[in-house]
Amino acid sequence: MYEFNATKLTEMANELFKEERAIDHLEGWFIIKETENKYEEEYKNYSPMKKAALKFKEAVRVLPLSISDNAIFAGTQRDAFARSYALINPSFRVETFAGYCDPTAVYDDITVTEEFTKERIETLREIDKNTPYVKALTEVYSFCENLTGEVAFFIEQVTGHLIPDMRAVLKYGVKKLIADIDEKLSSCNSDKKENYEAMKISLETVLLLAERYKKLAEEKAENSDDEKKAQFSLMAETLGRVPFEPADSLYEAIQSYILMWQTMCLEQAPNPFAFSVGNADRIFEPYRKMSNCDRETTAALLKHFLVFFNVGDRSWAISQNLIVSGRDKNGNDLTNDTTYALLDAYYDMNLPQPILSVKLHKNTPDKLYEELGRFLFTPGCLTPSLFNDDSLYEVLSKSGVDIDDIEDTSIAGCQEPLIMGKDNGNTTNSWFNLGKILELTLNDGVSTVTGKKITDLPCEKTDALTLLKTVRERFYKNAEYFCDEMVKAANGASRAISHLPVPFLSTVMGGIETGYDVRDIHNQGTKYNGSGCLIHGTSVVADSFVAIDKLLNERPEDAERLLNALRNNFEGDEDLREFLLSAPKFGNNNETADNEAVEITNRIADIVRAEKNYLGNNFRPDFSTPSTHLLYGYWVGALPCGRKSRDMLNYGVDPLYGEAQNGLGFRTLSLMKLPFHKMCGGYASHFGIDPKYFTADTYEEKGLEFKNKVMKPLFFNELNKAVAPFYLYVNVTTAEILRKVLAEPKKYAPSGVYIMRIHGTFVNFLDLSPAIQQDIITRLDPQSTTIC
Amino acid sequence: MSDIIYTFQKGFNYSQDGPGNRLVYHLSGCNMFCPWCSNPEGLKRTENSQRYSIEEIYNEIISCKMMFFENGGVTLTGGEVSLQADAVLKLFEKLKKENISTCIETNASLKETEKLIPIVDYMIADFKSPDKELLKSVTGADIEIIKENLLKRASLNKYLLIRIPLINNFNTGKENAEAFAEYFKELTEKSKSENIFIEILTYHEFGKGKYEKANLEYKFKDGFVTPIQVQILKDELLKNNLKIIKT
Repeated sequence: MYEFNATKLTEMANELFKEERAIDHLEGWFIIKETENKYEEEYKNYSPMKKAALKFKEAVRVLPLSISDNAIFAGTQRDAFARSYALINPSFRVETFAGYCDPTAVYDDITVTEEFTKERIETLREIDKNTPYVKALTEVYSFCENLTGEVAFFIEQVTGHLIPDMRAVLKYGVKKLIADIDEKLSSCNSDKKENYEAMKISLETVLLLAERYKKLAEEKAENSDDEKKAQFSLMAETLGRVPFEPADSLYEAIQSYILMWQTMCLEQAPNPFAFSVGNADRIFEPYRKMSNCDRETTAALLKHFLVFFNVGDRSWAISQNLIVSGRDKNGNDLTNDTTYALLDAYYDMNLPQPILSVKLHKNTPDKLYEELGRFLFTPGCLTPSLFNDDSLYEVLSKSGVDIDDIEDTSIAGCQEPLIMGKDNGNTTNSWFNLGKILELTLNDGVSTVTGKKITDLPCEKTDALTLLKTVRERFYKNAEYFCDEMVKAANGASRAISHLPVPFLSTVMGGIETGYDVRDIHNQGTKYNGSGCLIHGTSVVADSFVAIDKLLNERPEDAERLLNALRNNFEGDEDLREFLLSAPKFGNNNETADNEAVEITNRIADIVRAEKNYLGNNFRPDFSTPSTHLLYGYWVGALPCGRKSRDMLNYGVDPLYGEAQNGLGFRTLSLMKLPFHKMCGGYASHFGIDPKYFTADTYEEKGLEFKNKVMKPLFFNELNKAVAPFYLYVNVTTAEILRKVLAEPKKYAPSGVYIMRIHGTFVNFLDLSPAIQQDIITRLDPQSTTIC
Repeated sequence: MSDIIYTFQKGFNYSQDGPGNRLVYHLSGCNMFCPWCSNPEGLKRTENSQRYSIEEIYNEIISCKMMFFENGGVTLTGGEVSLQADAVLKLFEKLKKENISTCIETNASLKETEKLIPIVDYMIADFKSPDKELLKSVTGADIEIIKENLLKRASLNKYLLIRIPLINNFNTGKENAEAFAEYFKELTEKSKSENIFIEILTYHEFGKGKYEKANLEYKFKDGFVTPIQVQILKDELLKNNLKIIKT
């Protein structure tokens, strides 16, 4: 009988992570695609959904599998990912980033070897280019090329970015899901029949995977002695039960979950980024209780669970979110023993994935803040994303989510709130660049970055003074025009991806109830559906409007001069730039500037929200800019706020770096004025906080200090009568500290891992490309981050 | 101009200049010329000073109410607050009506300070040296006025925090410590106040960079104190049952 020994399990988890980080090539996804292609002809007469399920099953049948000696659970999601994600790629440069327009670009991310020859790779790429999916997507991109080229907007097909609900599988086993499907099959109409058959086949696929791993574990047990024999015998025995049967212990529950997750990711290979676990503490707590597992052992088992989410040498599966704590609809706290065990696991392992998020609310116990202190105040340690659950209840119920579902709010990707198992939000479907739209508004549709005519705008050309006097009206009119164009393209991308049905995922996203695929564009497969739009540049546009007003009031004769200065990136007119920079800026609790930001946020949110997606559901305004404030800023010319051409845009809803000159208190006040109730797609905000402002002696006390100085005023401010902010991520560090880490990594990060947050995800700071490292440092500018 | 307040800096500060989270304004202009001053940019009112009407600064303070958590409020420091006492008084009267907590951090060396003493909720005053002549020659301040102001405040039995900037080559050593303690003891006995607190601030050079920026020479040398020097003063204060706090 294998005994769980927490110390030993931790050692093994660390070894497992080391093994994973040593993997510098990923080709499992290629084998899957190649195998699926091989069976294209054989299954061509089935419906797309059923065909997808059959081909996928064939791929899982042949996919090479292995189990490490250090593994206590079978399974990896390595074969679903390529080494693609730009921001952690050392060769990434802002200047050359072109987005993910070409779905066959992934073939560049595989290392040519004797086995994976250039010819083999190129053959499959060519085949892929002619698939209905790639053809449809290519058509969409060429249709909007003019407008995406300099990123007035951007669109993408959304893979991953969902939160499956695995609870039924853990509780009742896959057998129950199959039984449910059989029942549906006995009574459904013909158009759903093949859908259900597809779902059933895909569930059989996870059982096939379990069976294959079981055999491997048995072999390993046979070839091992004593302890290892016991370890692999237990694994084999467990795989003989789950996920088919209900899980009877924490160990079984984790094993069951891992195989379900693996299958879900393999189905979308390559690169299903940003799938999220959901409220992991609530998912596993019943099984911890059932096993009567103490905190230490629970944490040790969960360490292996966390390692599972790390893929390859740079943790290429990014933005996987795991959330803990939160409340029910009556405001009762839902923190449990597994919450704390998970925190222990996170702290001890300090891994780049999965991202930790915490839902806080008015009744969050102080103990949770105390336990979070160590994350916030240990240099180079991961920090959790912080969500205001009270506020989420308000925002989501206003956006149409049933009150009973809101308890299951979790975070997909960085900060997009979705309901676990019930919500297909297509969260990163479209990206809207207000900075670029303002630039084009002021220059009659011609880019001041490249001189190219980007588009004919709906507003007629006029003289400089009239243009500036009517700039708001023109900007919003143009924003509507660009938004319409963006939505056409975004819906095109969603239609394109519907050529790749996902029957397995559908079984944990409400598909068994509805009988439809998650990606179905004619029938809604999940309870909630929408499409996301990430809105960039609210603050720089607000600051620009305020600066234009100042110019019109004080020196209207300089209207033409301003437009010329913008075209010339202020070269030779630094005086005018100084004048514009002296205008009030958002982030300083200045009424004029803050009201402008509120107005822009409101109006743009309304414009976006009014748009309909492929199923006729509304788009969701999401004011977050996951490093795209940098990438898209590169394509935005000089703006009237004084920002120079190609400089970054403001991050999320934050002020532009350097513009919040009176510290964090004033920033907080400005922030609280924004209409959070309209941000149903989410938003981003970052506080860099200097550790020296926290004077308590212990991590626990510092955690409470953090609650009292930062979280309570921002999230649970009794004087704030509006919907309160619901998201924040922090880096408790200074620019100076980070410069030291970069200069002497061996001294400051001897393990080679120094975890930092960039947008909603955390990453190894040392893995980041130089541009992103510098962005993090820049946004820790002392003027906006000081508490005192 | 008693309806205008001039400032050179503002920001929030937690529990260091009064209780809770406080909005701190640094008022422009100072009557003293301490060579170690960490805010040399505030010594004189200049064209860079921010000019507020009472209404404007009041409105700004009201708009910050949400950040006055844990019994926080507004703290005015300097420069020297009392140089703008009339306007500050008017502001405090308005804030009183809104129940906003007020605090001043003052050198207490001006007659005008007495105008603010009855109204302000928390008073923080410097007491740099018990040596009348030395104080006058190094900082320009008149110790008698300081003592009068401190007594007036203490006699109201309202919160009074007295800060000693402990500086080598200026106010350290056994003799000084005894003189400090003797004076504080006398103040406590005379006023019968239970709300006098003492804080020792050790010498720092946080403001040195500002001198360079402003093309000024930072003349004070060798001001840092040792833990032993601090302990000497502490021991003496404790011996006299004075209440020492650290903010």
